[in-house]
Amino acid sequence: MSSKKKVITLRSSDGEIFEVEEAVALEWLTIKPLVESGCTDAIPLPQVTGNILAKVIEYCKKHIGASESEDRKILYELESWDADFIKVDQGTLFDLIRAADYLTIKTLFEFTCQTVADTIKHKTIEEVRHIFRESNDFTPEEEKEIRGKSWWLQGL
Amino acid sequence: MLTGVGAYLNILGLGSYLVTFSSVMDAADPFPLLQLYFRPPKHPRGCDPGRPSSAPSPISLLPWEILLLILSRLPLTSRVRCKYVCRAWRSLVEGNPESFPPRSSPMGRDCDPCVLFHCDRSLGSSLCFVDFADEERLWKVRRLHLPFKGSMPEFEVVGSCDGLVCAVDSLQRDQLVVWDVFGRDRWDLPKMEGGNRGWSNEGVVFGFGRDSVSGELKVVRVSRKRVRIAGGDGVPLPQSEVHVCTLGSNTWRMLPAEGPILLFGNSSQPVVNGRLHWATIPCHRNRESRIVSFDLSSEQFGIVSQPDCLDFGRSHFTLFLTDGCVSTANVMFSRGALDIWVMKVYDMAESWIKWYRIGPHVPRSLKEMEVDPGFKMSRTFWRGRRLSLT
Repeated sequence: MSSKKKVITLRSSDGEIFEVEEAVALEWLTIKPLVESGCTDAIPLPQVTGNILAKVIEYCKKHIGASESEDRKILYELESWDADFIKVDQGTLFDLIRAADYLTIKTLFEFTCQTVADTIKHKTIEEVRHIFRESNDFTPEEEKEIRGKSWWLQGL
Repeated sequence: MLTGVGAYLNILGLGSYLVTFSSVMDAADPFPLLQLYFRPPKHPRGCDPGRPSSAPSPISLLPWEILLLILSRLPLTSRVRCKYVCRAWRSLVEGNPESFPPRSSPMGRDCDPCVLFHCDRSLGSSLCFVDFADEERLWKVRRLHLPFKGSMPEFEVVGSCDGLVCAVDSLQRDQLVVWDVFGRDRWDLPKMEGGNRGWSNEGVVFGFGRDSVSGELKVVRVSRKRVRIAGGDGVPLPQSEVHVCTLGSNTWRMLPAEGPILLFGNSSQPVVNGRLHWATIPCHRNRESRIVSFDLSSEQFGIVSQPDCLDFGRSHFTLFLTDGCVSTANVMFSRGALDIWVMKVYDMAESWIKWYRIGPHVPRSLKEMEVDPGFKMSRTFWRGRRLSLT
């Protein structure tokens, strides 16, 4: 019957054109009303660049339907696919978070935020500074003071 | 013996909430207390204390509320460590002290389990916690820094809400403090005018929660005394006074009297449907404990339906919260067991279910200890307390 699925056209900030199935686009709450209204023009996404949009579409295509699956095998495969998907540099990861936030894609937003949290988890202060390229801007006195406040965390 | 407590937590399915178990070992009050300590992401959305202007790192370019959301997913120990990374991270973790009252984030995850232990010793009270979100350091007990330690050496925890804990001094019971466990904020509540004159300190029960309508944090104080009515039959009748203090307002407001309210103060007051809950003390007229609620926005008391079951009414119970439902832990004296009841639909007597029974067995690791068999449950928690003292 409906052999041909409806396709939505998207335009990234750098002018690249992407086509996604309607079912995928409906998961993006920011553009959902536009999609539902039957918009046929390319939807402009001025806050997302082409390479990030490609990643977002890749993720959503993979996840549509699969996330709700109860088949353990499928979920396991999805998990390892996710792990590969998120092996990106920090800039891309943060861009993905921003894009997921802007497009209101809950699954991707949760996943990317959790990835950053997992990076911070169980790291020492020095490691966190190194990973996120933050520099220590405390004066020695200040450092002593805040450490004194949280003496119960010393040695962490 | 935290593994014991933790195992219980898992069995109970309480993992998604913070529960404090504390217990008193003396024979006068042999009840294990269950207190709920709720740890949500504490920071308000959209309060941006501003970032330093030095070369921004990629992560600091993320919107403030997204960073807060990421931080809220960290175990407490990691989150505190983030304070020392740099100034920007510190203000992120500690929040903006000017934004008062602190509001909970609507996007936040509210399921990081953490347990607070209250320790009483001769030198004063202290609080320890176990962070269940911290997978690698699970069961490690850490002591909490108490900013009011000097002025209030002995205290009791009144309750907690959105990462804030309210405590009252256990001697005079007139000095209250609310502080942010993970941040630096602390608010001292005003003392009651005239103190507790004529009112027994023992009978003073407190509650702490957020008015879901106005967003204000409120402390409720219910005191009682017995007065002889002129011309009566000479039996002193209990009377209650209710005062409310809205955080930041610096005054106690007295609410119109509603007759005697006999509340059992030694447990947490779970907040469900914007209402605080207490158990009442059985008296000669009403031999069964009831559950009393207090609406934090309309400031009205009410009675909550409870199961029409002899086992329930005659047992001593402690209130707590599971999955957003009012729950009770009922101590079955005859059998030494602890029954967990949950009210699945708010204020519907039929929706109460007996959810779980913790049998009177003792974990093997505790067996070598010689203790009165009647205190088995307390002992599990008591071991937790003892461990936290070392």
